[in-house]
Amino acid sequence: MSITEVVLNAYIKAQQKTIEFEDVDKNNCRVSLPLHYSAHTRVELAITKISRDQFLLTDEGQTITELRNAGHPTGSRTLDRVSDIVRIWQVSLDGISLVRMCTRKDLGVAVHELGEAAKTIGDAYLYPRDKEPDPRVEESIKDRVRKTFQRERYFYREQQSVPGKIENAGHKVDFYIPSNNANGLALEVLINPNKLQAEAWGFRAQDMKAVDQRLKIGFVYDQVSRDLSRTILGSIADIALSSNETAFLIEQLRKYHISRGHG
Amino acid sequence: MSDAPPFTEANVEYLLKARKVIQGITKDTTDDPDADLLEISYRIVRIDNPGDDIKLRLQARRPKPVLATLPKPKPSAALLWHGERIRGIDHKIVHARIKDGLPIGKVRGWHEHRWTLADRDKQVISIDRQMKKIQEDFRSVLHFCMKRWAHRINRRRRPTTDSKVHVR
Repeated sequence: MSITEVVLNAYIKAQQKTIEFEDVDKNNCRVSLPLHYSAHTRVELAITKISRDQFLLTDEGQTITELRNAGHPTGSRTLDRVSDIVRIWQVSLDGISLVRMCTRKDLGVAVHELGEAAKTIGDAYLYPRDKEPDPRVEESIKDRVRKTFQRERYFYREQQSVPGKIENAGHKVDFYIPSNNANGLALEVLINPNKLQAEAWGFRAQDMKAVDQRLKIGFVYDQVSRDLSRTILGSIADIALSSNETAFLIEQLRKYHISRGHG
Repeated sequence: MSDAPPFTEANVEYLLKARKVIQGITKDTTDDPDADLLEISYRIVRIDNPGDDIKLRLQARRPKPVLATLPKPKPSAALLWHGERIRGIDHKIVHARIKDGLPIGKVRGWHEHRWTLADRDKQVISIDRQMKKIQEDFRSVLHFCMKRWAHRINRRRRPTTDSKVHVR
């Protein structure tokens, strides 16, 4: 027996042992595959014999439910992405269920591919979430802002506390240009701000402006920021730019007559 | 990047033993005939400090079958604290039992996920025997979880967005 046969036989035998079935009725069964989501939950598929040669395979919404049970939000954007990812296996998303129709001839491959699709979605979304933003993204955006100020000869300070009417100790901002016969600027770089953060900056913006009415507020946020946060930031800020729009920063500085910060 | 939870096992045990109330419903699709997922989410607070949202949510779900003629998928429930599943109940043909990152056996059927610092929500215990005593429908599973994790439900009032219903 060749090594290939030894390995193949061992693999097939192990697969037969690790795959488990549950009969539901004459035309329905569930299969538990030796594939796991992150909480070590096995991928299970429901298989229905629709006719003599037609089978319907579905994960019964288990993949998306697993995501939700693990605390991951699954809004329409996530579902669109899931739909894109699973298309390669001829799997579609019906509501929240991964679904594939197949003939008897393709049944084995279809079970394998639907399992792989479910596992892939689990791998993509069920890893421990990074709650903190990547500091490299933030630094690269700050660097672009820094270079714009330097190139255009704006005299700025970094990590400056700007006093507020309520917060006497001030609000720390990434870039600050004091008002000097023209308008000042407090500019913050925000990475994937959530609704609460955006609202908190709304409060800070008002608080700083209450002390210095010539102060303009600016935000530069990364491209993955949520629409709601962008809307909030856009409504409270004088200057609100996405990180791919930093080329327009200089235009905005001129529009708002921002001081060059020199004495 | 670390993803350390903002609590310990002792915090979880203490929280589970504390008296709690359901303060409101944050999501409910159980009356929506178009929803693909029957889902309900309750905001739970400590009875001794009801004004403080401690980020504790009890959620239950049951996907709708793709075709009405197909068998109904089984419901599942999760108790999330700061977005992390500290307890969960669901049904699987087979599920590995994990301890300290290693598989040490299997459970079949209904099981409960129990959060630990080492294994997060991977540790499970079988609750198949307890679940055999109840119906496997959405409401029964939800009430089973309320009793199990939050002790007692005041059945005189159905939770609404603004109501406070004692669960212990």
